[in-house]
Amino acid sequence: MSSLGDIPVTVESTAEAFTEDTLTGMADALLREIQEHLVALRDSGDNHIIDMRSLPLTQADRSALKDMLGEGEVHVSIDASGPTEIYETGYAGVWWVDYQDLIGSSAIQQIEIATIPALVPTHADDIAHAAKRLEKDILDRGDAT
Amino acid sequence: MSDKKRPETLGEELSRRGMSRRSFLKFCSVLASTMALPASMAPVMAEALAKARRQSVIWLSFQECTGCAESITRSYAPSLESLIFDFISLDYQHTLQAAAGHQVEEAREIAMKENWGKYLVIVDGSIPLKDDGVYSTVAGETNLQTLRHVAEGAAAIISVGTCSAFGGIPKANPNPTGAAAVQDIITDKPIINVPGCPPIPEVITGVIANFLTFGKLPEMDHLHRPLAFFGDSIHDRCYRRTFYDQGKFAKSFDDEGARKGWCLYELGCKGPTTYNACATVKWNENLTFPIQSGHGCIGCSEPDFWDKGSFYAPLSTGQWGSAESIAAAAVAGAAVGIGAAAISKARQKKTTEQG
Repeated sequence: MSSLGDIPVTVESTAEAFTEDTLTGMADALLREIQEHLVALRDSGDNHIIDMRSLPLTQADRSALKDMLGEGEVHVSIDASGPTEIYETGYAGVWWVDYQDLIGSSAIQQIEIATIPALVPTHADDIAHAAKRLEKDILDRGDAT
Repeated sequence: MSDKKRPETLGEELSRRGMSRRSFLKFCSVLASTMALPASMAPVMAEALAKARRQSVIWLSFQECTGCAESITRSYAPSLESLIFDFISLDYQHTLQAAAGHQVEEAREIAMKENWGKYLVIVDGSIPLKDDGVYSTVAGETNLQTLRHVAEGAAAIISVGTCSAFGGIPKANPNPTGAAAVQDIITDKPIINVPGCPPIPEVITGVIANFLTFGKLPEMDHLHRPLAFFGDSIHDRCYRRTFYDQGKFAKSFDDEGARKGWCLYELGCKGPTTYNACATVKWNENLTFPIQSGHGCIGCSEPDFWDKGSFYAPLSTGQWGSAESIAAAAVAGAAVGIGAAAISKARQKKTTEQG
């Protein structure tokens, strides 16, 4: 071998083997993980959240998982620092949560295994604040009439 | 800057702003996801942060351009990230404080005394050591004296920006002031580096939020940067990576490849050797980052980035055609992926043909 240039170099492109249309098998794996947490919710009331942004899911994986889970009876729209769309999947206790930011792009997607997603119930501090505000508004209204 | 009427906890601050706990929980969910914390931690984090008491922070600005402070204060307000920044008790900051002169220095001493062992110190800018540090002084004290004095009672130090983390531009060759990083001087306190020129505001607030939630600094890499944000290279998380893998490179900033959004490696992009969160957290409300705007990464969050040659020369080398340069390119190729060696080989062929 006379020079380094004689060393053959082969480019092994991964681009063709792994695109957004590729089904990687992650959807099936996630389904089993969801099942495990759903059993835990049933037996001991343990909630769990799976952050899909941190997983190497392709678009095809997400679509496949969405199809497998289906849609259930409850849809929730929340307007808090940007829209959030939540729906219960075809499996009761398994929720699809899509957090969007203020410019409407998807910030994170989660699957939440719970009786009700954490974002839905009103926090005690917000209730206390609302009670105080309502009391003041009623007083102000009385003063005005 | 202390104000007795200000809310004591972050939860009270939320109420004062009329911000719902849902908004806050959403912020914590995004923060937990960004920091690679388990998603189930978000509600716990939200509760802990809401109960967090106002944290005293002393911000020291040394040899710097104020770009780091601009980065965080000019972030897209009103945002939940800015909330964290507003919530801390910023007891000393040259640029932002209203007071001036000896009153300011007194306020710093009072804040230190009242919060001894508990306050956070944020530093931006490097510290000149040459000629006893005379090249940068504030209120008759050299930066070196101030840093040593203030660091003594600190719970932890956050070096914000590449200058305080690694010396940055003031340390660039020939380093006329003998500029040094905080970690070169202070060795007995927990120190975290949040480099970048400037650093990403969400990373700064993420580190502060982590400290408020868990009472300690987050996990760090070998350069003391928060691992959650600096664990991957820009190249690893770049949306143009697929073009790199396919060997599709822009050759100039206005050619067809550039218009098609191909990889900027050959135009000097330092993404393969730069660790930061620009490709994932991005800038301006997650809108874009330099590569997405058509310019290669300049590697600003790495030590000595200013002295690593042209921003527009490919990483693998600027000289081609000799055995030494190809060997260098092959080493770079092994480090950044097999594509780099392919480029160097193609370049070698082109150079040989031209020669």
